[in-house]
Amino acid sequence: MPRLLLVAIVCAWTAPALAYSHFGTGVGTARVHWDDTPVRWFATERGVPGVTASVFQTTIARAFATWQDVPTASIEFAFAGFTAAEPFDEDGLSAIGFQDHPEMDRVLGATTFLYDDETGELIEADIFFNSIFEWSTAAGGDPDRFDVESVAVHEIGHFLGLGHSAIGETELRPEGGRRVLGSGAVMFPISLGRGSIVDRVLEADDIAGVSDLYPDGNFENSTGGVHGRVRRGSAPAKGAHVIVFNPRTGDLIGGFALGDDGGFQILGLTPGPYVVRVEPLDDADIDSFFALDDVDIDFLVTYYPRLVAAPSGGVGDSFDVTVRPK
Amino acid sequence: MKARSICLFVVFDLFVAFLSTAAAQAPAAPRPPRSPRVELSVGAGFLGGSSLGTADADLRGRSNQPFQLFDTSSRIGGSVPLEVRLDFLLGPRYVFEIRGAWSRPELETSVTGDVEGAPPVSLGERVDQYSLDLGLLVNLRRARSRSVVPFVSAGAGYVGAVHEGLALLESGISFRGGGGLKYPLVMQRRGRIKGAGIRADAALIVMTSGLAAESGATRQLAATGSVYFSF
Repeated sequence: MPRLLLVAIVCAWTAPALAYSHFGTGVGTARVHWDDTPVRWFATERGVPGVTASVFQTTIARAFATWQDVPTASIEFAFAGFTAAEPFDEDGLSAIGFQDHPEMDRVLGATTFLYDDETGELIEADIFFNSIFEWSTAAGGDPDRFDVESVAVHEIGHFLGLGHSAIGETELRPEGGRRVLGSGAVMFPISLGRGSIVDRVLEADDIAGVSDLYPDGNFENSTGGVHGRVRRGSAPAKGAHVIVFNPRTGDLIGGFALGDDGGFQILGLTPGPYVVRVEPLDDADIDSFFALDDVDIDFLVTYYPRLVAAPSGGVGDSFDVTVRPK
Repeated sequence: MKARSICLFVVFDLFVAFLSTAAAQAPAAPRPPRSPRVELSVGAGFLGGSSLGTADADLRGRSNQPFQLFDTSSRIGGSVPLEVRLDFLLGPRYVFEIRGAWSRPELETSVTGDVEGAPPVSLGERVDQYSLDLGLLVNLRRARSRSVVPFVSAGAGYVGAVHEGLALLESGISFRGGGGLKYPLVMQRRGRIKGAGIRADAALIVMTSGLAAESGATRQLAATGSVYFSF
């Protein structure tokens, strides 16, 4: 039975608004995804100062192309036209456009889904950009405005079914909210701020995520994974953020210990040896990643004491990372 | 005087011609023992470590400046290779060589500078490294019993590494160049084993892809000692 799920899949700038994770973790064993491609999308007819509806549409098309061009993923999009429909209308159209949401004063944009809660198949996904902010589509960015394309690439990640990535570092601001020091994925929940255009380009974590969800050709045979458990003593360290780093390629890809036993699995890795680092999920609000009540964030950053090899076309032996309390 | 000399030369030539003809018509003499054609050597030694480079785990920071999560430095540790060579003697100086080797080096990655203050740590992984290459060896002197024979050699071939838990096989290409000394202890013309001796090799081994760093090649110094038998 399809249902509309209006979720806080948002891109924020100073406040937290989700490592590569699949939003579909909440849909039983099914993953939220598009079955039929090309996925048709509509742009609304509304522009904002500095960004006409036409320029907005071409910018959004570029952002879609960024995901479509991932060589290891097979997903296609088609612009279906301009529409007077609004994002968040339950009308079967995937509409993308500006809306005024002054009550969401720290939210740059958000994505909603209509999906079959048995199969996870997406029926509709809408994206809004909050027009209370000043926006830019300048090629090099505008230091005083937020970049439409960067936020669009992030929101389209949600549109595809991806959740938030936790690969990033933030610090608390005295006036509230968080300031991003660094982000390792377009899907990190908090924007780098005005003027930044870095999120126009996908990172390894984003590419692994979309390729795992929409694998193309040989992706599953040519990549591998690692899996294991994060433990604190005899108990699982649930919700721990696990990052794997390939010293040869520089790729950083993340996942979460969401299993009842603290289990995690990270797929889509270039075969080779990896550094495994486990950290508490403390750089953004936990509910921006997943809904768990017993997330353990009271432990020290820990490296697994061995390099772990990701094989081709499978996963290696399971291993336990034991973390120490703070 | 001059005419007499010419006469002697003619007589001598005729004599040589006679002997040649006689030899050709005489029953075949026993064939001389053949020289060794194949050498088999088995040995062990030391394969030096090598840097696999450094890599920073960087995030995209503000103002397009990278923000370092941690940094790493990787190397392949030294190991004790076992080596087998099969040499086909193409002549007194030139040898076609097939070389196989196995060793178990440790891959080591040091992690430092963690942004959240995690202490520096060294991570390791044991790999089984195999190589098989073909090459040419040139003896710089003819072999004589109890006399050192210096040689130079070079080759190229396959190198593979199997990671812990047989999780992953990585393969690459290796090139080697070097030289060494052979010291025949026994040389004989008869018998199945025609000789035996000891041999020392030193080489620079350059490895690309496989375990090598993503960019560029990995260089390792190797030194081995072997015993060899000639057949």
